[in-house]
Amino acid sequence: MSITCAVDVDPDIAVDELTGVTEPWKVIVWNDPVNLMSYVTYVFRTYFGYTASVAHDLMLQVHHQGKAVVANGSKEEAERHVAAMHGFGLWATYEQNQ
Amino acid sequence: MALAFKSTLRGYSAYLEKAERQILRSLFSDVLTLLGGVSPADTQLEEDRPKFFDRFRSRDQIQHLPEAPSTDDLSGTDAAFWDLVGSLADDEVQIDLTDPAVKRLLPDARSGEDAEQGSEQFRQLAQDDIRQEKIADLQRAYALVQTPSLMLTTAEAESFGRALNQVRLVLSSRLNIEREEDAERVHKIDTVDQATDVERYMALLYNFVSWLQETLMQALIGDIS
Repeated sequence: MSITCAVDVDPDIAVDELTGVTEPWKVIVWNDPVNLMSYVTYVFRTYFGYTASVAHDLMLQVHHQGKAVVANGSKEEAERHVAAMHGFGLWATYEQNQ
Repeated sequence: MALAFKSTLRGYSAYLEKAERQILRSLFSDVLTLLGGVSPADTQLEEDRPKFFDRFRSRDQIQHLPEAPSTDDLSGTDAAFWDLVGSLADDEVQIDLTDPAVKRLLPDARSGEDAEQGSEQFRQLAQDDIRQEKIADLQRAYALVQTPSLMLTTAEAESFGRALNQVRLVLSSRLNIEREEDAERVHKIDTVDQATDVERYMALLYNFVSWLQETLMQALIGDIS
């Protein structure tokens, strides 16, 4: 037995909402060999309010893949986030989502 | 002999000997100079007086500040060290973005298309605010190490962590830590004497500050609910 749903979901829009690519700008944190893993995790948790597991995964993504997108938003939001990251000493940039 | 940061009911506690606090102050001052800030008026460092609870620490929470290389006389070593660590320009708000350490503290903010132009715009928009915040963190940290027994609120602990991070970024730049292998190399200089004296001393300081920041971050992370 299955339950069918009558609501028609456009899969593209659903994915967009999940990954945030409809937002015009993204904030990237880049890997460096200096910032401590504990420090980066602490910043992700306290500044962005991410859960322990999300913050930990993002930190590992930065560490292993060289970078991670940590936020999406308007240009003003991206600027604010990057300014905050620089205040913490993290190497962050923002750029336009394609 | 420094005692690691620890979360207590009254705040984040640590113990730092006078020599260690003196070194930390010098490092904070040095970064302040790079950012065009000034050190707070020199308040006399208090003498070491271990608090009662500082005795109840396990061995792995204790760290000795690296001794300066003994082959040279101290003043010579210090001079060479400070030459390496920073230029002592006294201009008001003149910061030197061609200095890799300064660029590390205030990096480019844009990537992707129009990165160069965008980074320049961002500097005009936000650099001064970011710089002032960094200066405030360093000045706070400078004042906080006046006493041997530290007891920090969460806000002070976070600020202190950011200041230690700035010191590590500057030292890492002077030590050319660009990749993980470089970090490994510097980390190993804990015991092996493979670099020049000044570089080795700087590496030992880097490891000491890293240790202190790590214990602080562990204490802070443990308290996030």
